[in-house]
Amino acid sequence: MAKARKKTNGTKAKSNGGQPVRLPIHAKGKRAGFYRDPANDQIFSFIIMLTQELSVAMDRIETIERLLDKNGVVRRKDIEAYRPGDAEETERTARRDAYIGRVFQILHEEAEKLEAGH
Amino acid sequence: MDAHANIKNVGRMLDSTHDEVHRQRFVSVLRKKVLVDFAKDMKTVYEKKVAGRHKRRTGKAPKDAREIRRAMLHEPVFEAWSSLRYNAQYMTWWSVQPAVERQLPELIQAAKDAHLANPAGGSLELDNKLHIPGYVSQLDVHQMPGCFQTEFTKDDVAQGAVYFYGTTVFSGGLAHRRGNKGSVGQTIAQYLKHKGFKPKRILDMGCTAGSNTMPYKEIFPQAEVHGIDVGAPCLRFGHARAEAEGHAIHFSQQSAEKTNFPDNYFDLITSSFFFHELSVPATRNVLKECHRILKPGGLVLHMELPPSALTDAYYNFYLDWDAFYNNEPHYEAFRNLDFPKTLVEAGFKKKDLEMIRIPNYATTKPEEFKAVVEGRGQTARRDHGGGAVWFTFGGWKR
Repeated sequence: MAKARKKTNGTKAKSNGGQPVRLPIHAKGKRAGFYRDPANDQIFSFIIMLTQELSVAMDRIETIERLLDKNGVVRRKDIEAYRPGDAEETERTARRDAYIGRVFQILHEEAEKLEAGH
Repeated sequence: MDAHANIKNVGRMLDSTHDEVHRQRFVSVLRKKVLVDFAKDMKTVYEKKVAGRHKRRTGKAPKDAREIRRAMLHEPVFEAWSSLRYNAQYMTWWSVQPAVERQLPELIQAAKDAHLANPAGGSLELDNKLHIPGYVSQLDVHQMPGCFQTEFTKDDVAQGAVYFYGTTVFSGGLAHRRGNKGSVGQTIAQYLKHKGFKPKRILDMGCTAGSNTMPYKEIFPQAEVHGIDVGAPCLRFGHARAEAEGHAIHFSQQSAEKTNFPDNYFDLITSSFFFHELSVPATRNVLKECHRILKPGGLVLHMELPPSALTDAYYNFYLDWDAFYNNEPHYEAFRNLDFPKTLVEAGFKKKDLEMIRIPNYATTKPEEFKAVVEGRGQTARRDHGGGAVWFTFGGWKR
């Protein structure tokens, strides 16, 4: 019974001959749409992905600036190895939060006007 | 003691590049903005505009989640909010997939080493003949490409790793869950410990990569702890992580609808965020199975989203979003069930049922937690997304 189970490590998948595994990008199931024109859903995805990439670029710039402040020189491997400490992470998070707020600030507009009684 | 020191911990191995780390951090912040800041805007638009318009047109305020949904569907704020939330969901998994792909051979090796050495004394039993139920195999739950069970290579742990590391990104912007894997398991286990309940044998159903299973072993070290799931990659990952962290947990690949455990076997049966992913007939089967394998005097206590009968219409509309857009089609039907009736139909007696809202242990002041345990008032916090209280349901077997 449960206590005396033997250890096994069975699997449904066969070896893939040592080839690197590529994980699927898209989920099985219907892709959701929110706009009457599906092209708008695509454009929204492009924008949000670009917003992310710019945020990543900003983080890279910040890493470079901090390394320059500290060492006066920057080496690629130092950038790659750089991980912010807790206090710095809090600062970066506040910056990302404000940045996302600015990019999508039009989303606040209607609620703000309604709150103000317009 | 250090028997596990020489195996790598699959839960601490992800070696993301600088830019991958910052992609992950962006997603965590984005999700917080969507679930907190922009969600507030959407509610304001509903309350100050949409509800009134509906009332002027029909003479009544929207009566339930479906009516609110119809009234909101083409509001720009709903379209944009939904787009952000939907994309953030995909981006969660995408932010960890490249590192998992790159490190997959090492992760698999670490898992194999952990299985072989098995230093903590847990176990892993896989069943490659197991029928994967349609509610898992037919669509990728939570939009996670590959779901819990797909295997891409021999001894694969990829989906366990994507789920484990992805959920860290997923909750990384929410203060009550950040850096606290397994907060549901920890909360329920602490609640029961405070109550003086000492389960000797514990089962966590739909345990995925075991994050919420581990706290039971930590908090009840003398107990025999089991975790079951249908996804082999998650179980391999969970077992390897538990062994590396020194927790003897018995993982097995089984459907919770029909397990191989004998009658009257467990003192405690639990789960977290599990039932809403099952079809309603499967939910009924699982609850019956719980009753069968629970010992007399034992307790079943599952954490879930609160039933729609206990929350207001707007919150139901807000939570049910996942049923339509997050590949969790049973979510709404599950929440619409009559929970007491469903438990009674599974074999529990009405007087023995439990429905408890428990504040998240790690972020609750000890006196507030104690007050809830002792039944001195409910916590005022909102459920799930709004903050830090977990809804649990189940019952005692007498």
